[in-house]
Amino acid sequence: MLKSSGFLTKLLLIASLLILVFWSIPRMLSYYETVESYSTKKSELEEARVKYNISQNAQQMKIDAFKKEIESIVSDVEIEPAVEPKTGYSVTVQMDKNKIKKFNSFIETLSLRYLVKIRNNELFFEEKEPLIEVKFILESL
Amino acid sequence: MPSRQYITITHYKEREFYFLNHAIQTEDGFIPKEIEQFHESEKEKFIERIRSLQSQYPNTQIASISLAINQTITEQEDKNKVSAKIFNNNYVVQDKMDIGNIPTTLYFSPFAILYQEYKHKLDNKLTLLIGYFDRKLYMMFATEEKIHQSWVIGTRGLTEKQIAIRVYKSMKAYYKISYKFADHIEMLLTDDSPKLLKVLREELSLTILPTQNSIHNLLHHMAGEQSRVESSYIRSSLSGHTSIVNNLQSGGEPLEKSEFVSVQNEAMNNLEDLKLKDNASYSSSSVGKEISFIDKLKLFFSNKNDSKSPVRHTLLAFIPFFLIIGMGSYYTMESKKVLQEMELTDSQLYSQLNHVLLATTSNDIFLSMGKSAELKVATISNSEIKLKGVVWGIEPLRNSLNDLYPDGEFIIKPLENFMTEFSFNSKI
Repeated sequence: MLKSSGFLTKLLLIASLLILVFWSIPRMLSYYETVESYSTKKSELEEARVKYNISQNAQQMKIDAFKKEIESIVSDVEIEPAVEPKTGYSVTVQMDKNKIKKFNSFIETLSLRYLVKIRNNELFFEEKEPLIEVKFILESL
Repeated sequence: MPSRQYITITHYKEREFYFLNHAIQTEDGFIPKEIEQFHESEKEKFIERIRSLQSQYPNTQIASISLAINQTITEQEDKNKVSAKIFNNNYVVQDKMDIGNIPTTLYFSPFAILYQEYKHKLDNKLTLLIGYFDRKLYMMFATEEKIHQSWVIGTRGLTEKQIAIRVYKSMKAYYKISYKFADHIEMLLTDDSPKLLKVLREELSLTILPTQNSIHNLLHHMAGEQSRVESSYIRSSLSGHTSIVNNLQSGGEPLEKSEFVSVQNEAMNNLEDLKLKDNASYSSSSVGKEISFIDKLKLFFSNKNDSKSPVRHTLLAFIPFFLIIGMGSYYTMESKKVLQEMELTDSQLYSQLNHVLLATTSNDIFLSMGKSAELKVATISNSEIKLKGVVWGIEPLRNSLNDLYPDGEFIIKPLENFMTEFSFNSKI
């Protein structure tokens, strides 16, 4: 049948075959590989959540929610839009020196609660008797 | 007696339909019966019907027509191809017999039919004979001496006017190679198309003489008399089977119609053998003589039968094409979505890891301060630490910091108020 078909028909069938072999099937295989890899990473993230006893998925950064949560640890918190990056937030908190450990625990689980990271993984401490002040910049993931 | 009647069964395929007819041959001509039509999906039923006619009338010949586009008229017989001698030293030649497993005893070329129809009209003037079979123009420029040139042109999808223009262009093309115009044109139409007749007359003036007859009638006519059969049916020189011709020629006298009974089975087997031999010879020659990949490609793309490749095939071919494109596009888009989500999960995991490290470093430093010192200013990151403060227990602080960061630089500086300032810098 193929032999008696027209040139365009043959061309289309050959093109279909080539596209199938060199594009569609590799795309499909790549998709399933990606899904598998994604599934592994999701499991790792889930394990981390279980470890820190966090039931909810990470949410987008919301100043009010973030402020409310960190206020349980620190005595004063100030959040402003950062100069660099423009989508970031400059956070300044003050706390009792004996609450440093709690603050560090909060930092440890920050990315599991909010889709943010600390810029350059850098914290700036300064003594403000009788408190200690910590500054850092949050970037959206 | 009905059993002694000579019956011609004719069939051909046009697009997706098989057309079947049978006629009773008499001294005064043939009496055709009703034409039967079968869809290609009913091929088995169609073959059964032929077999049933064969059993009903033992004295039969089954005639069909080669509607292949790749047949040409040559002056020499090609031993490697199937051919029919139609005139003096003119042979209709085509690559192979393609009767599609359908019982056939006599196989005719449109050129042979055309020649049989018009041979009595040929003289020393150039005549263009055109047969319009299955939307293809079988054209030959002939005189009483020989056939000078032949062409087959597909016209599927063309309007009547475009077909007429094709005929005119063919005449011009022939003029370019021979400097001769056909003195007149005879045209045999197998489709009942009054509009085509009208347009051809208008476009090509009165020099064209179209007549109309159905393929079945033409085949009944061809198979009706053994002299015509003998001179026109296609046989394969590959097979070496010439028994039908020998039988038809026996005694120099036309065979009695009843004698067709004796040759019928042999003739049928003859063609069926040919078909098998064609296939066998094709495969054996491909073993003996390697066909190059390029040749195979050329063969594959050579449009041997363009009028048999209906638009439907092309449209159908779009279905897998679009399905495959759709499938590829779907997986590409889905992959992109999953990749975006994975990137977010990746960066979340990476940030989480960095934050754990940062929190651990911060905890370690504050623990090492203990009661020995108090931080005034500090920069703590995952790549370096810079500490500055007041120290009371220099050695315990130095020891604990050096335990954590052995390459760090610990500096102390006395202050005016009898206190001691320390600074500590280290890469991590």
